[in-house]
Amino acid sequence: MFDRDKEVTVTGVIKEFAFTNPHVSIQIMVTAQNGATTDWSFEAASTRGMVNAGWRKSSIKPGDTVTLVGRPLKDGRPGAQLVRAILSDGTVLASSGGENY
Amino acid sequence: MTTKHTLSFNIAFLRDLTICSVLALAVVVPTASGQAAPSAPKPKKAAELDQPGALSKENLAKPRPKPPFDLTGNWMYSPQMNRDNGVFGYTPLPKLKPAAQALYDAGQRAAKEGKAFHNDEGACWPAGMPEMMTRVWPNQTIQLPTMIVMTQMLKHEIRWIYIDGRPHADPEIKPPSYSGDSIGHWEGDTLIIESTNFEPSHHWVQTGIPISNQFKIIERIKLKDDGKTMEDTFIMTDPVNWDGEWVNTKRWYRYDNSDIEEAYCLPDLNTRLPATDAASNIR
Repeated sequence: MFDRDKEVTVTGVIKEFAFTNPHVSIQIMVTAQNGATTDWSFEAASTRGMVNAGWRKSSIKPGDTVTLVGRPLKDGRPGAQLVRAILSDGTVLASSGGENY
Repeated sequence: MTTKHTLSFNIAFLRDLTICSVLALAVVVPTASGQAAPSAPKPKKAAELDQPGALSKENLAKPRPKPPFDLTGNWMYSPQMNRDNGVFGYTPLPKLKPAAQALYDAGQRAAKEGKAFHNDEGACWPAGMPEMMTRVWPNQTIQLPTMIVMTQMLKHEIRWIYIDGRPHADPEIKPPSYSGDSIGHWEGDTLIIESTNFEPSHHWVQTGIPISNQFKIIERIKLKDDGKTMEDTFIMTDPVNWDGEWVNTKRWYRYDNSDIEEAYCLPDLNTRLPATDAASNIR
């Protein structure tokens, strides 16, 4: 489903951070230079995987401006598998703490 | 002299006596054929209904040889440890029957387009055996003298492997299931498991390869690396979908420094996950 040979980087405003299993998910609204907006969906690891990487339920919330890096969907839809997040204060959080989930 | 109450009592008594008489006559009077109506035969009690549960005190306390190993622990499936066997698939494939081959080929085409194909597990159907063993979430395993319980964190899919000497359950009594009816025994340093009576609906071995109700699995499980690695050789047969035995060996590492968590598959959660939303699933 995801292209493991590519990475996509988007910066936008968080619409939702679902801190839940089996996958944490992030919905982010990205605004292009021409003002058009696109909603991207990011699929992340389990809550345990994210916590092992330093995430907490309160790490991001709706309204935050965040940069997300991920492996994009092969079919071109605006979605990706999270690789890491860069928060507005510069904190970098990987998607998982080393295990596969 | 008869009082009002006495009269009421007498009327009620006569009424009740009449009812009883009618009922008595109904029991005694034969049918129109002249013979007494036979009572329904008692159903024969199946031997399986006498099988003590795996958690019964008597069953647990029954003397048994010490097993060669204890699988209790969390087992993590590692793609890195399984690059030689297809990782999440089971390669090499057997010779598929034509219908199964057509489905498999369609699945391969879908994957090239970046789409899922009959991703029933993603749509919250159970993965079932064998796929529930190879999810990226841990398998919590508890071994008792009578059974081994494996709970896959994803959707809490569960399988019970009975090692108390019982035979397979009669399919007339126990319905088919996604985890199968599993019984196990020890041979030297190996746990041999036989699983039958699978539910075939929306049940796939891997993308595009379905199972039928004739699907069976034999597993040979060993512990290696001083108990840190679990190795399971699957021998799968399904004469409806492929020829002969489909053999594949998978490996897990012990991961005991964490516990599994709740992880339901929720339809509204799936709409937030780009890999499992309905738009990406070819049916």
